[in-house]
Amino acid sequence: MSRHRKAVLIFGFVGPLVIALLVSALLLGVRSKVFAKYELRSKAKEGLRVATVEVETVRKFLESDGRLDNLRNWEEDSGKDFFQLFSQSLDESMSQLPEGSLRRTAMGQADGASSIGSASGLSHSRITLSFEGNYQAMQSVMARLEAKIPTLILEDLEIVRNPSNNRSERNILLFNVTYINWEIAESVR
Amino acid sequence: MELFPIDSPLIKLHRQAGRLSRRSEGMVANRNWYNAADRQPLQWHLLVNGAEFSSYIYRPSVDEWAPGPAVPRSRLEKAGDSAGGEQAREGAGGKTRLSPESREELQKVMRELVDSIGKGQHAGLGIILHMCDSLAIRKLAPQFEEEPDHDSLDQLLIEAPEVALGDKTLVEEATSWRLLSEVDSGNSGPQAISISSRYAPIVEEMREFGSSLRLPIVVEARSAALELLAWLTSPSENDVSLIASHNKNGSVLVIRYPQQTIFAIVNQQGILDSLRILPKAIGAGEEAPEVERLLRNLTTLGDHSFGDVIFLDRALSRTEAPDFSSLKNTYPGVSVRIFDEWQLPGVLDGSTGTLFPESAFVAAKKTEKGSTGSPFESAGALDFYCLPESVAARIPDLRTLKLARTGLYFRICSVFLVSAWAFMIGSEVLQKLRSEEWQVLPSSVDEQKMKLEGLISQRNRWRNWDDLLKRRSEGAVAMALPLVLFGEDDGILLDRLDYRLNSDLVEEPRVGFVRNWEFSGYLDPERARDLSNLGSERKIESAINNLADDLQSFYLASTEETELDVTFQQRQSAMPATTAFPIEMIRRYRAAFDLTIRQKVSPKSENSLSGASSR
Repeated sequence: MSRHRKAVLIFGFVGPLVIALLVSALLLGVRSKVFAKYELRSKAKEGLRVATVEVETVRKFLESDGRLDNLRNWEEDSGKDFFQLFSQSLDESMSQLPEGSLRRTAMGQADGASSIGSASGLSHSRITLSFEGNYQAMQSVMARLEAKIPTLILEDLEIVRNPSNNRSERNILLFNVTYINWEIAESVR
Repeated sequence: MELFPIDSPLIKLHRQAGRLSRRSEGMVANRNWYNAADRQPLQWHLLVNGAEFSSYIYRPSVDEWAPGPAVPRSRLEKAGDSAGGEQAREGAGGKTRLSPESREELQKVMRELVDSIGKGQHAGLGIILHMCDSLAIRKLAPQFEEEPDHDSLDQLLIEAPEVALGDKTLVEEATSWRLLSEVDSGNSGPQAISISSRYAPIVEEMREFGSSLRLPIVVEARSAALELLAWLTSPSENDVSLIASHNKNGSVLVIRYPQQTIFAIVNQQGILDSLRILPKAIGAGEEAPEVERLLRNLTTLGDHSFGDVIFLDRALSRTEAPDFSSLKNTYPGVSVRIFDEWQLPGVLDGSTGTLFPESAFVAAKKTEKGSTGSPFESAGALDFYCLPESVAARIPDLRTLKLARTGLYFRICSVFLVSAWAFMIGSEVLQKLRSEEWQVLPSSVDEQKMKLEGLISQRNRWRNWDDLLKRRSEGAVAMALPLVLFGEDDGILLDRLDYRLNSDLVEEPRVGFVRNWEFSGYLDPERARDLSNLGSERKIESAINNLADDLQSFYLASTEETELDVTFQQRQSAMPATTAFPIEMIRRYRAAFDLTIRQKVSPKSENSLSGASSR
């Protein structure tokens, strides 16, 4: 084969063909890369759309009925020292009672385990209190206390008459109260 | 048209082929670029007889001869030599070229010829110089005498005759050599044959001018004597050579030119046996015995045999033929014929006389038609001024040029297809790049998901808190139940209340529980007549539901997931004696009772407690 023909074959056909193939391969590579990226971004867009919808749904849920504020308050309160909060609330509740209607006789941590506390597996503390006084006063104090500290749940309430033979003291009731306080701040966070 | 050497880089050769294959160059469209001079549509034949030029124009399409334009007197000069001389200079040294004036005149003549054929696919001019004089024959160098590759040997003679002939004193520019392989003139191998290179610069100028006009102007220089011999020794229509003789010794062909005489010995069949050249013209002045001696010496024939003699000269009108009387006397049977070459064609083959000595041309035409059986037939068409193979190879062949043209279309198609494809892909890619999807960064999804996770965490915390803080057991509510169960004056003295919240069934993750009220006290049987209400679950349930409504403590109400169990026991048992109550009262309350209310909340109830495992 003459060098002329060789030159024409190489640079006229083989070379351009190779270049065309290389360019085609490059184009295919770019195309497949862009398309693959596009697929990823399409999925990302769908993911973003779904996530945005979910975000809006959850945000609306939290923002309705003051749920977010409630959560902040609950979590803020849960961080406070319970016994201090309890004593303070109890004192405030009792201070609103008529003089001599109710007297706290004891307050402390309850011994033993709570039945419902153990069954639920939730962290909790128990506080036991003793009062003497009249029924309405006790009911009023408990209502105020439970409104102030929503984590309280009544475990045990025992009301007996004062066993005194004294007629005036006989109308005084003795209250033994055990409250459970859920310490779930850590577990729900 | 400058062409690259064949050993140039392939890329250069490719560009050159591309350039030559363009329509403007016309090399692909016009096949005359690749045709020999005697195949061109217009031919300019120049009979060069010494310093005398005879010019003829031949048009093959109409088979018509006509007087050609006068050839201007050429003035040559060495490269760099502006003075020049009147005649061609031969010898070593710088390259000899036409002087500018001569070149201009020659180009003017050629341009007139070219103008007459116009341009186009069928344009072409063949110029053939028929050289009458300066034919020389010589042995090859001993090492090449047995060389079987005659083509290579021919090329060696063209490019390096001093090597092929073993003569370092040879002046390259003076003679142009070719290989004559068909004649065995008493030697065992082929021989070298040459003509003067005197007109090579003119031929070169003609070729260059053709290149500059981009027209196929093909120029050849042939030996008129060889052409004549090739024609005469070629078989005619009767498969017999024109000069076949009845003489068993064949014929002696004597061709006289002004400066040399050619002696060709042909056998009875008219086939050339040997060739001798006498470097002078045997003329009328020579004595008859001298002519006979010369013939005998040159032809090496025996004493008692001699072939017929055919004497040819194209200028018999001006110069007399030699005296063959002595020969006729010695060999009475020998015929001696004397022709003017002008008349020869008509005499030998019966054709009508023509203006040009067709013998010089017809031989070449016969050669082109294919082998006629004569071993000497191609010698007539030898181009002594042919381009060396190394130069001729610079011109790509027609097939290569067509291939280069196809390659151009192939590249255009490839570029178009690839471009179209690139455009399509580019459009697609651009479309993707401009799409909304493309603007979404995966990181933004992650950010949104993180935000969602944060919100979901808040929601879960809220739900946990909300679930945990549901009202399930409150002191105020627990203490309200006895107030609705027992009236002020219903004959019941409540002595003790015990409320307890216990866990019950656990169905992960929910935990059920039981609210348990235990009441104990005393009854006044006479007043406490409605005791059946205390033992009725329905009544107790109704009371609890009413209480739940009144206190907005709906968790207390009975549902399908709650279960109520009421136990009421009454027994005779007087109050213990004490000063705390009046004696009448102690007498009236002479029965004791125990009331137990168990409200069981199933783990399936929404009021059940969510255990730690769910948080």
